[in-house]
Amino acid sequence: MNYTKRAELFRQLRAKHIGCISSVLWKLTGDRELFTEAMQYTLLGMWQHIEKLNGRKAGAYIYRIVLTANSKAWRDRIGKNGHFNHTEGQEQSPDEKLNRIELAGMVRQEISRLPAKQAKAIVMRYFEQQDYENIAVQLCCTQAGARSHVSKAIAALKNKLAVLIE
Amino acid sequence: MNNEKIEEILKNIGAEKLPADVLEIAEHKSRDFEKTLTQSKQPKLIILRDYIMRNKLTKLAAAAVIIIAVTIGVSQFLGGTVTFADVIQPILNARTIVLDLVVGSEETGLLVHDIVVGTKIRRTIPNMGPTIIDLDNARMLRLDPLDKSAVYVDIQGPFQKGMKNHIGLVRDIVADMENHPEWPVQELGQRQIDGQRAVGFLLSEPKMKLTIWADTETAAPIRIELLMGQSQTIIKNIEFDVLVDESLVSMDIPDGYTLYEGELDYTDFDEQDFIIILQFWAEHVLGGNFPDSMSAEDILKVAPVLRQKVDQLNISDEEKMQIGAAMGRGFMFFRQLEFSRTDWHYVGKGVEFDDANTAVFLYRPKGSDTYRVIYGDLSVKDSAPEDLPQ
Repeated sequence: MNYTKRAELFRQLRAKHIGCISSVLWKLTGDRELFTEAMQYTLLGMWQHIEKLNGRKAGAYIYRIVLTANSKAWRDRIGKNGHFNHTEGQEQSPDEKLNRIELAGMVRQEISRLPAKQAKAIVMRYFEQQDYENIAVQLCCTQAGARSHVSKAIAALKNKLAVLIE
Repeated sequence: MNNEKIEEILKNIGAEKLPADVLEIAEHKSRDFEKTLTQSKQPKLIILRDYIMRNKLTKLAAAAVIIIAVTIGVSQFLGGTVTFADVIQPILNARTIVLDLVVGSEETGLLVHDIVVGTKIRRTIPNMGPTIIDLDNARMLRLDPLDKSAVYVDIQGPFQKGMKNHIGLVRDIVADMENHPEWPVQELGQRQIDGQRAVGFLLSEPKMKLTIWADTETAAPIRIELLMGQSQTIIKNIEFDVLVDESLVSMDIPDGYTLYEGELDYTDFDEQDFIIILQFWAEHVLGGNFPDSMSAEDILKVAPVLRQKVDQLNISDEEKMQIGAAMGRGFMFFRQLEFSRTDWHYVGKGVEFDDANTAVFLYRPKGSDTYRVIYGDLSVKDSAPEDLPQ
């Protein structure tokens, strides 16, 4: 694919997917700085793998790129100071808000460390409210398999958070 | 915490609406990126590099992309402020480099002078004469000004890799960053170095620390400190792309020198070569005791004495030459343990030569489940990690 075609394809993909990408990245990051960094990694990833995004599986590849970008952004953040930034959230009592924000931040951080399929399953199930039938198609597995990925991811998150909270 | 609680948190996150300003950020960033693509006909990697530098992504990521770009021959980038990406440019690109390097600590280490021209190096170690290293052809020319002798050394194989210039090693580490995005680059702020205002960057991972101090005005590195395992190397007095008399790195025998017939074999090295160093050091230099410590600096310092001891042996010149070569290989064996970040430990302090029950040195070869343990009698045994001598 020549350069002009690559640039044109990138433009089309950006126009089509930017809303969805932004929504997922925001839910995965919950922080403007982290979001911006993950977004830049995503754009780079899309450009670098543009040939793979020229077909029916473009959506699935973009998912993978978004999750990888999210993991990289979190890794940079964790490497910087070892902590996560607090999510910017809705109005609640200060204690409740802090607790909710901290837990949400921990969950987000741990999602960035999940195996790819588990992270993908969690995003599709809880962040995009997709049904298991659709998740199974996206993950190329059975519905039971999709449920298994979600269950394993929740169990992993529970264990990791239990350690962090203790 | 139970599964329901996790699910509740996930659902709450899922229900969060995308703030309008965040969508704006996304739109802005993506449009900006796209504009860069459509406005330029430059190769993609240059575009990515420029894009990243403008957008202040992490310097680590920027460096990684620039490294890729360098391989297709892009020109230097000089931004308004000195970044790690700027600083590594001359390291990656310079054809000629003149430098001093200190193996060991600044105060007590061995000073080596290198003139690097492309893939050739003229390395001068005080009292040991110059060596010209031709990395492309995997040969060394060793010159001894005292007896005007010269010898060619074949360094095909692993030795060739180990002999690379120190800037080459730094280049490799910087290039390897692409494969290790988790390696953090830390800014160290500014300080005065040799009268110059310098800004520092530290790249560290468990068995390696690379610190680069660069001129705040030109971004040219003026001091590089590399700590691998327990060995430190300081590169200083660095001049990039200076005019160099290329005859200094000629592999021809200089007038007045006599060529030693035959070529020394440095095509491979193993622990037996290293054991020869241990043996001569303990038996002939320290009168039956192993040294207190073991580092590249230690070995380089004792090298002239080892050579003297070998010269005093009642054996043929050919045999002396071969023992000397084995010691050179032994040094490379030790260095490659550090370069490859192998787990090794020297425990020979206070151990007597010939003590068959006490370990002197142990290392775990790459990919091995067991350690190789060298004992005071120079026997070698394999040992599981849980059975290692205390």
